[in-house]
Amino acid sequence: MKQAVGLTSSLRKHAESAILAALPGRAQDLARLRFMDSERRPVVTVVGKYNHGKSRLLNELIGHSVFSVADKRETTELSRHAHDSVCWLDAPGLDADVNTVDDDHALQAIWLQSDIRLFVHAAKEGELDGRELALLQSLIEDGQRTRRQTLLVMSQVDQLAGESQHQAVVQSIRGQVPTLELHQVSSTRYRQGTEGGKALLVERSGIPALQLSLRQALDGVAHARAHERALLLDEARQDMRQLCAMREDLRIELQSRQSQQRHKFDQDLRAVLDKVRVDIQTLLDVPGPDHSRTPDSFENQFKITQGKLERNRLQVGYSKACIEINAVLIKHGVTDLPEVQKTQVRSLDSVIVAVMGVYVKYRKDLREIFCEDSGRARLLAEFARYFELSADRVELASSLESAQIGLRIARQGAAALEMLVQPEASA
Amino acid sequence: MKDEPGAERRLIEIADGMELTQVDLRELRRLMHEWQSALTQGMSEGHLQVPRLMRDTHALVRQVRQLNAMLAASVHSWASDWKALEPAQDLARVFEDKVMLLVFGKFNAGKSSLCNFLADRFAAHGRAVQYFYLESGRVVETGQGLQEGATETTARLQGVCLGAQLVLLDTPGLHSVTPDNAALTQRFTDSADAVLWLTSSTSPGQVQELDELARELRRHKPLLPVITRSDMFEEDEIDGEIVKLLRNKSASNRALQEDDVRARALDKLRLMGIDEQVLRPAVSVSVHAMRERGGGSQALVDGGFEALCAALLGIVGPARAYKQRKPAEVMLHHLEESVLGAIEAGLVPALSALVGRLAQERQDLREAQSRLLRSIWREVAPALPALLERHAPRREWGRLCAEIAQALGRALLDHGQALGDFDLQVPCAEEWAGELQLVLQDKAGLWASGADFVQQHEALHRGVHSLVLRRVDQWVEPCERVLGAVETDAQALLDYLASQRDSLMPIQQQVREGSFRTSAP
Repeated sequence: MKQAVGLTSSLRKHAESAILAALPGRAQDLARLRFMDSERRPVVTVVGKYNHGKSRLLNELIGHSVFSVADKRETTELSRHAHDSVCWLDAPGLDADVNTVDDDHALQAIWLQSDIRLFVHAAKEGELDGRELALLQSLIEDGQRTRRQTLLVMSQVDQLAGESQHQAVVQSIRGQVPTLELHQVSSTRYRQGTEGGKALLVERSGIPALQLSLRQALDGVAHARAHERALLLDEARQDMRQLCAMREDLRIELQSRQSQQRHKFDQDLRAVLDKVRVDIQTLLDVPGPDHSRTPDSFENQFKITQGKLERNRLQVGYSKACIEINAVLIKHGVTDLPEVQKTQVRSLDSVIVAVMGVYVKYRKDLREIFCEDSGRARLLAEFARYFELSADRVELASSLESAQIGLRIARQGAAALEMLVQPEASA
Repeated sequence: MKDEPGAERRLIEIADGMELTQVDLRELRRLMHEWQSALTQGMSEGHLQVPRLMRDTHALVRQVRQLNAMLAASVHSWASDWKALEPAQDLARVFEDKVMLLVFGKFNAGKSSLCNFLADRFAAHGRAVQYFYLESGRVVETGQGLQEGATETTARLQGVCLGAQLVLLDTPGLHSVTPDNAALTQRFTDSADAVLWLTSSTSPGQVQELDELARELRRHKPLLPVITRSDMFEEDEIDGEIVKLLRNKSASNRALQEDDVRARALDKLRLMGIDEQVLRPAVSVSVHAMRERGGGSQALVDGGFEALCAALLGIVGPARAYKQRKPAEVMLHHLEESVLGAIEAGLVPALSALVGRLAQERQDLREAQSRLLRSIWREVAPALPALLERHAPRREWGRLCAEIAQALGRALLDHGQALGDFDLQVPCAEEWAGELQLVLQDKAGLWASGADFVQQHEALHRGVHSLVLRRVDQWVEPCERVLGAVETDAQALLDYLASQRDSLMPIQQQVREGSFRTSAP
């Protein structure tokens, strides 16, 4: 049997948690794989309603009384016994009862730990009821998938009144489950026959025949396990591949949206700065002296002076430039300052004010800000910085980050899964 | 109680003549009728407004229509459910003076053989025995004993009258009959006074079977577990042949199983929220062993028959008590199960789901509104400086407003799908243009002769922004009102149903405590 010999238990635990982080739905399969790798002996589980003689049958198959027997509900715990390099499990009775902790035991016994299931049904009960039939069907389906075998056992045949009743019961069960061979056994006959040296009772007990079938099934366990191991790993790998591809696509999609948005913003911003540069240049390219620096004297405080006119002309030109830039900012949602930067004055809490400042601009300032390359570079950088701090962009960036984390988890899961597939290589 | 001598004789004698006291239930029935008509009235007035403005295909509209249909249908279904009870009441009248025991269990639990055995015992004591079965809702008498169905699905509803006043009703269980049959079976089980739960000794006490009896047990019908087939074969090999001997299970073995069945049945009843008082101690019986051993008195004691008869004597008393208040119980059950039960199972969860959905819809609407505002503003505001530059020099304010209104109209069309759940009319551009002119006239900055571009732009910017805010608000407000109206209706109906549920409680208490006037003897 191929074992995960190279994988220490802590390494395995680590790998499993990485796989589960990506594929939480595969928890049961991982538990089954772990069980197969830790328990080399084949496991035979007895399944059926309580009081249908499961424990007694186990005792006869093992050869001595290991499991307790009483004429009432007995097995509620998951009891196990190892004998002759086989593990025997007595599952809790197949009955939806008040006590639901049984469910976990049943899951362990029937699905996670078993290689071979002995499905036991008491002859006196006649045909299988709906609950038994449903479980048996799912065991048969599981067998087709995992190659784990189920042996159907009709127990306590000594409790049937006679041959005709016996035949009727056998016929109806065969009708219900045509694909499985029906083993008819009586533990009581076997015990009585072996103890009293009575050959007919031993033969009619059906136990020797069941033992033979069981031995054949046990011989096939190594093969079945190899198949099941490959199957479970393969299914998990397919899931993992799909998950990785899906998350990769999402990341690519978000990344491209992020860069496209940025590209459009940069484009619009450059265009408006180009236009503003020309406008400001025209504003500044006027002949004659610069009156704007000429201070107003006391006597012409309330008169229109050349200085005042020039200052006003510059202010209007500057404001117009700001309005045009702000139009681009509004279009791209870059109007509000980030929360931490906000002041008490709402009118100051805008990106345009934060970048352009509130002081009065003269010819020299305007030239520096809008016309010279260094000024223009500062504007590009500052507005781009606020663009990335705007609400929509922050949200997009955080979606991208989650997508990246998701992708990382999926890839780590995929790598961990490969460790389970080829433990030797990673050891 | 075990092995009490003469239990069989006393059971047979009591079946000869049981006095059933007449009780006056008129006052109780009047109270129940009044309660139901009040509820009918309340519910027909409780219809929800179908949300206006929302498309017919919208899930919320469908949900409201469904709820209204449910309201109408439930009032209607009470009447038909009540009518459906009539055959059961007819049957109850056929057996009016008798105590009816429901014999319940799986197909292989040995129901028929136990019933037939009891019938044989009554016949042996010279009492009349009449077998019957049910066919298309009618009682058909037959000379043949009851037949065990070969499988669960072929079983039929059958029974036997023992002596003058005892009836056994053998039911295959609800899960194993066709839907047609299921309704019928349900009606007949309704009319039973007590339940025998037969469970095979091979695997006794599979308590999940009790789920099917929930209705009966909630009605405080006594429950007697009977462990059947309490026997076993012993075998030996003599001269090359297997020889079989049938034995009763030992007394200690039986006690073990009886205690186990009782313990687990109690657990199950607790889980189902059913009064534990209904459960009687279990008895074990082997009809097979008694027949095999010729049915002598010792065989009857050993086979468990005496103990069974003693247990039956013990439930005939409570069964009679139930029978006396049965007409009131039947009506109360109808109110509890068909009326309140249907409301609790269907209408209340649907209403709660609707209220939850409305809260979500409102949240979605608020988000859609701010999304719409943002999208429109981001599209229109950046166009304002250019528009102003084009029209301000010639002071063409009318054209400016018209063009802005057009841009707004386009943006609204482009982004209006944010409110796609609602069937809203997009305001026409001219209307916006007029309003914009009025708004801008108030802002002296734009029209004042001396204003420069910056002041004009400032005024325009503010004016358009306030217009967009107000218009989107006006547009969304009716949607909010629609959702609010539905929520008010739904909440009012929920409150009303809760109050009606509470008002049934005093009536329930009166029926259960039997605190009604007993007519003079």
